[in-house]
Amino acid sequence: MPSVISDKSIFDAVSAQSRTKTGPITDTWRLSASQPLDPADRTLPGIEIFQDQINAFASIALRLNQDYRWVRLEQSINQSDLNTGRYRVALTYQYITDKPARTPRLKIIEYKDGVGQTYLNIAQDLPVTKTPKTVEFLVATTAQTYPDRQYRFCIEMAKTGTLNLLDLEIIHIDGAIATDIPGLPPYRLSDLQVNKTLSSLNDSMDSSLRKNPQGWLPKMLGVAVALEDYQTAWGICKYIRAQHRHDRTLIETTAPRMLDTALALGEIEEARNMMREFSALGLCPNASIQLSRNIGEPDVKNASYQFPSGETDIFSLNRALERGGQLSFGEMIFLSLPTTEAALIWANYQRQFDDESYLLQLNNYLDSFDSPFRITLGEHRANILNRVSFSENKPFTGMTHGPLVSVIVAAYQAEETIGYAIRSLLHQTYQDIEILIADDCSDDATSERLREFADDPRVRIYRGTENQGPYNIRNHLIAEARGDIITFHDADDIALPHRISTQLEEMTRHQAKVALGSWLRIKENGHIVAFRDGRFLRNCLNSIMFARPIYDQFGPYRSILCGADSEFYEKLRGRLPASEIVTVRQPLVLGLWSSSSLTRTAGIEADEAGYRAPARRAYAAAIGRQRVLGKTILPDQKIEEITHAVGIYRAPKGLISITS
Amino acid sequence: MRIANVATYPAREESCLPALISIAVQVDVLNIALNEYTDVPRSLRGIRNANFHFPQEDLKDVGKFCFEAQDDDDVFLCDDDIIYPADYTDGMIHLRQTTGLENPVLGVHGVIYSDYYDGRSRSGRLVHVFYRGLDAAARVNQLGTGTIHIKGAQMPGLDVMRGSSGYVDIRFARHAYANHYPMICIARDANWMKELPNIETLYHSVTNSLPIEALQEVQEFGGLSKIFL
Repeated sequence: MPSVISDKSIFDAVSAQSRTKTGPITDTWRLSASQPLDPADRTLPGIEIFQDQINAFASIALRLNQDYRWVRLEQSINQSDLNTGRYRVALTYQYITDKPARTPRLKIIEYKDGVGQTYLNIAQDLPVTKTPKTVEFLVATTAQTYPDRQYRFCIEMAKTGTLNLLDLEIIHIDGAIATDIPGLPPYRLSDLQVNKTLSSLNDSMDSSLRKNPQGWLPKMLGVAVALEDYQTAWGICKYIRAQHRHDRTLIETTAPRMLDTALALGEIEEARNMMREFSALGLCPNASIQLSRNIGEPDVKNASYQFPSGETDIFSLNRALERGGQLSFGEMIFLSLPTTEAALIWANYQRQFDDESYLLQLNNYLDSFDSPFRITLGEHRANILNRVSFSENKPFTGMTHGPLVSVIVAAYQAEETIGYAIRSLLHQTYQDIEILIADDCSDDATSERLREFADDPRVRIYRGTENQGPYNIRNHLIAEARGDIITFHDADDIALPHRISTQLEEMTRHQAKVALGSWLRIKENGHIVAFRDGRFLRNCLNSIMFARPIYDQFGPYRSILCGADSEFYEKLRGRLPASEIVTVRQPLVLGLWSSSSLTRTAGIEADEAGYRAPARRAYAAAIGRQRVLGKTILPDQKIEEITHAVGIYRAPKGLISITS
Repeated sequence: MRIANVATYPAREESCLPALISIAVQVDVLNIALNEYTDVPRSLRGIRNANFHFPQEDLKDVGKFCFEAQDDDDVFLCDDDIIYPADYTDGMIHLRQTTGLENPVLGVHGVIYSDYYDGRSRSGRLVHVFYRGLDAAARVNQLGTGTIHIKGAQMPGLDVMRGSSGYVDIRFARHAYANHYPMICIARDANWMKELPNIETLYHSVTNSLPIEALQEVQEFGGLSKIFL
């Protein structure tokens, strides 16, 4: 839990009358200087400290009428408070000087036998500002503290000038970040880039939006997109287009994100309007070209897959390859392809000719990650994942035993896929696993398929009393699980044989509590999906692995139909130190990308072009806002109302065991 | 008919007169909510067109919303610590007619919120302060209810405003957003409008520590994305 270690007693202790002596001001605050002229009475020439009013706000003013080596306002800090961890320091101040070369600094000083040395530099050279300004710093230290020494936070001046201190807050963040502290929203405590950006945008809004909208607006639009808050992003796009439509610089900076947003909302006609507006300003961003290609604008349908910038439009090229016959071999070899993705693009190209060439390229891709396993394909069936098996490419040397890993699987209408999904788990190189599978009240033959695995002692099978969605199933099964480590697997995906071993090994090596793998999405016909950013390999949130206490602290999953795994992961990312989460950047899962996949189910779909169905968007926006603003401002009850309103709420129901 | 609504209380008895007179001379009726009073204070008895009301409870700044108006009345929501310029009501009515907008709300003190506003003072807001100049009219999320011109039909009832003492601007902005009234902060020269000196206003105490209910209300209408363009 965060704890406040700043002390505001100085604001009450200093009167409007100047004082000029070093020494204690309150029990915790003191004034010190490098060279008192008269050590006997500690009176300092040219230094004044007094209470001052700036606009309607009280402040402490420290005025230097002559230069010193240093003059410090110091607040003592308990050594026990100064344990390792992160600190958020927020200072509201005004500083006026004629000597901007050496402006105030923030630091923590360690004193031993009256001699001080810098323990932690927080900020060097605070900017000169003639109006109150708030600056925030997130700092981390691993330096040892000692009980026989004193530690003091200090604001240090040296040159003539006046520093007004209006507010000071020092928060020690120990472990996970809380989300429900009034006045301290989580984004103010987290060091994720999006949070730091938002913090800076909010604090500079009055001056920056007024004087430099070209700098401020694109960043705020970026925050909204990063939070998947597309409704807000769309509103900002409209604001930009209405208020700054002729500002070429601003439009050029924001154009790609504007198109992203239009696509996410399915506002294709508006996207066309935007592209016309961009064009009128002489702008043709890569995103315009790609979008035009994919919404079938006739002028670019047959154009080259090179952007004017020279990069290849991998997304559009890959979509064309799925249709087959769009590009000749001669055209293909002239394309400039990114080194890593080239094998997959060629696999998709070769797929139209024969399995052997397709597989060769796909395995070349796995080889590039030093994968110990290669894919082989069995006899022809409609879904390629039903044909996949693995052979050893080189001796497997990873972990095979260790803590019990509970693999949780929720299955719904999965009669066609559950067989290969479970077999891929049973064939894991890591041996100490249990598999808990629940049929979420399917009305196809999923239950019958599951019974085929009932005799395996590693498998425990359940059935929901009513359909309740995958995340309620996860919550139920975690309660049944015996493992110290929890992971998940989707009922239509294949885990590569070293998936669990690799994630666990990375977690162990980095002493992390959470491990993600990566995955490729494959259509039933074998086409490997690229997304609009041109990337194939993506984080696989579905198969997240974590130590059980993580769930105890951050669970349960929200009772909804889709997207709760993203929410859970983002919660961890925002509230855990970055070192607690590792990501394995190699393909460990092959995920089915078909209309039967949850992500592609009509009404809650998200597609590779960037479209998000309204229900998914509304939920994503709400949790994105809650992530940054916290539960005090946006309580869970409000999120639940939204999930009800858009029809994705699923009430938890019962679960019964089928196997003993 | 031109109507102005204002609320006052005994601590302002002496100081509010210049403010009330500055607006009274421009309207047909000046509605004054006399919080904490039991009788009309002597200093205000000379305002010829005043209509005094004694709220049964201390409504504070919500008091200005306890008066009825006809749909077509020009209503001016005022504060008791602002000196209104002589051309204030004429100017606002003229500007309203030239906006070309349906049901606009015009004001002088405008706020644009961050789409992710967390309630901190001096953060997450752009404020067009009423005594500073503004070169061009600006669309905003919120207008200070001391400088607002609307039609009677747009007035929120007391039931809407009740409970928002200390954050009436926020509640009023939520009302405007819910009813799709665009809010326009008008262009003006600096010091067109003046605040009476040395009066502690509710505004400061509220913005320094916004109650959580108010902060949650801001989420409903605040942000660039929610400005009616």
